[in-house]
Amino acid sequence: MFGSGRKLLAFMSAAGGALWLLAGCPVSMPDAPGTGTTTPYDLQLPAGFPNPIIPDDNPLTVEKVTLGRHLFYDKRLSGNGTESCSSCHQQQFGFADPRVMPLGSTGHATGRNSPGLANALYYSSLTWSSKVLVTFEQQMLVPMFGEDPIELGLTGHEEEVLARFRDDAQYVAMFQAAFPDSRDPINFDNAVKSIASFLRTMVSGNSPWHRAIYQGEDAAISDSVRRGAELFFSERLECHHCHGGFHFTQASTHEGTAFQEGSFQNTGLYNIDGMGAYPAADTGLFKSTGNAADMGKFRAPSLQNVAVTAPYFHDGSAATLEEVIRIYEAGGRNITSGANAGDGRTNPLKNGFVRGFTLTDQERADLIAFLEALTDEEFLHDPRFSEPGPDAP
Amino acid sequence: MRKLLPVAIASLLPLGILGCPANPTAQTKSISLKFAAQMGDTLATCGANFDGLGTTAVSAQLLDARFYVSNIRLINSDGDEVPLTLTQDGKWQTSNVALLDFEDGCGDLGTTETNSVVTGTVPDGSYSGVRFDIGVPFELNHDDIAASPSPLNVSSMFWSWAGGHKFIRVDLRKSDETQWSMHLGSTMCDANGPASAPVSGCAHPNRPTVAFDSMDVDTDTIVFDIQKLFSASDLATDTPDSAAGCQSFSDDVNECTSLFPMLGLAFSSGVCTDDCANQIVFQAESGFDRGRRIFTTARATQGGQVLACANCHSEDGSGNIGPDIRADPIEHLIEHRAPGPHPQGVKFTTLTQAEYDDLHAYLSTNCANDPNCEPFGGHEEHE
Repeated sequence: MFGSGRKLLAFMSAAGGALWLLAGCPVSMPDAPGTGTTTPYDLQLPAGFPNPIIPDDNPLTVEKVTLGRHLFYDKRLSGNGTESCSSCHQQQFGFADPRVMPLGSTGHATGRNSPGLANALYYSSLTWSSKVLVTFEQQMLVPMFGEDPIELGLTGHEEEVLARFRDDAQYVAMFQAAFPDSRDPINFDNAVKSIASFLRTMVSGNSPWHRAIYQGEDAAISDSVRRGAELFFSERLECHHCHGGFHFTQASTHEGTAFQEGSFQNTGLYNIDGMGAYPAADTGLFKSTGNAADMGKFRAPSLQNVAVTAPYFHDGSAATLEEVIRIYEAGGRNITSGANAGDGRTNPLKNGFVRGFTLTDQERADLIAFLEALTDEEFLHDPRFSEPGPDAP
Repeated sequence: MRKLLPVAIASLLPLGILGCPANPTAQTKSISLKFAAQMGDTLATCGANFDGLGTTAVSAQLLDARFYVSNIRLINSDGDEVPLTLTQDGKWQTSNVALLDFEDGCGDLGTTETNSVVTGTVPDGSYSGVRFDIGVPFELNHDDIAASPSPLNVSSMFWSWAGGHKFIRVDLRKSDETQWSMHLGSTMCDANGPASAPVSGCAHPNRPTVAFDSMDVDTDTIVFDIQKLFSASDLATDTPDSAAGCQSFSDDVNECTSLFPMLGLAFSSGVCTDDCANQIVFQAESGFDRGRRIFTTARATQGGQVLACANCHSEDGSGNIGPDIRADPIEHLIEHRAPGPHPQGVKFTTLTQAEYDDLHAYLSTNCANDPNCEPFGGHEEHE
């Protein structure tokens, strides 16, 4: 073995390393000979962030990210031209939406609160309650083409929508640049790949918490934040069981993770029939699996930028962080009147770690201070993610 | 092009010089240490309900059962400890740590994958026992899990940088739908907040050592008995405003003071008394004993009724309603004849290869000990 290693070494010297180029160093290779090149996009991950998993069939390129950013903000990507992705995912709110439940482009109620998109590239599953939508490429078809609810409302308008972009010289150029080996690059598959690429660049890792923990900037967080963090990670409050890890949710995946961890929980927000029922309009994971034990289970969201993504929960039914914390203090939500009346605290399907705890006013303020320290102001105003001007890029 | 060359040469070095012993099998021996989780005499199946737990005979559903083992040493013929070099599988084992996982995602927070074996190599020789630590060694326990390899990056087995990993995680959901958990890990770590590593260490390491100085490392199974873990605990009560059950921190002094000694640990010090020798949670069981356990506990169903093999074939396999099956190698019996000769509708639960081996050990030993039992096809070796 030693001998053959030496022989190989000699061969390597003679070949001048050419073998290694052949073996796979895809640095800025043209997608197809003679038709143009694309430039790999450097995510410039913040300290402490692991390498995300990028689908092999959709590598990140500058050109796709640029095109995806334009499409994300373009209302022409809806059937009636009234909404874009950004209508319900607004940068200043961590790409969430302050409305309880936004309306789709045709006025159809979407039925859910918009989740923030910061660091969504690390989610092991997407949307509030799906186990099967695991890539942006899969998930995005729902708001684009879904008919219940209608969000962007593209179904039935496909050719009309594509024609809008084919008639726009800037888009023709951007699609051609992003997909240089395609003769007719303006299609939904390429639009989806581009928007997915843009979403994968939305990395948020410069909050005061991140600066203090990963970048050595001790003064970035106050003593109150530190006390709040102690509470957050304590076994008394149990927050970290669902919101654990660097992404503040167990629903995380990245290079090196070998398992998909359980990340759907019933947190006792409702209990309409005393048997654990959630409002029929949204029963969570149960709606897709039909498994009675999945009633009211929703994915634990990341807490990145959580202070600006109000209102909270899948249905936007809590207005403030304090309201959320008080629900967990009580071990669930007791609704005393109205159609959704019922004591969520005794929901039999509730996760066992949602069991209530007692906080002093100071402790509650500390916990909120910690959550507020997860707000990355730079991300909320980063021009790379903002609406492109008419002459962009 | 020229710049690539040193990289190419450097990447060849481990291959050509360091990493390829001439003939690895001549010098080392592969070891697969078998583990199992039990609730007393019953298999600790995730999601199953168990009665009579703890000092107040509580009924509860098992939702999680996982633990880390590390620093595994085999005992050689001189009585010396020889480290087991773990296979680095990118999943269950890294460095000298392995995760045993007996939950299948039946709770909200687990994984569907399970693991009941630790694999590695030792220098060739004969070994008569094993010692290992429960938990993650201090030097690997307090890293950023996002940058740690699997299984150290399983977030449901992690507290924080300051606290490190949950060495043992067992979650019970009681019949009143409240939770009672046992989460073991190091405490009183001198970190500046939860997101930094301890400066010097943890005053309470809570990392017990388990030793079986006389066991057959090839065929015995190390059993984690959850019933025994809770045998001194009053699961009916839980101190208000403390963590659910015993989760190792100071607010759980009431729950942990009685539970920790089951692991050989003193809650007041976080270390073992008497070399952890008085722990009762882990036992080594022979293949014969495991086989008897499998043979006599319910592992088959017929209609809605659960059955043990022994119900029809008698406890030693010599037969009553069903025939004498001691003479057949069990793998042959299960794979080639069941459910053929069985009454219609008898279905076996899935058996692992280790369990087949254990059943075979039990039945073939019973046959060998009975002059009236003629081994099927002579004394066939099970390989």
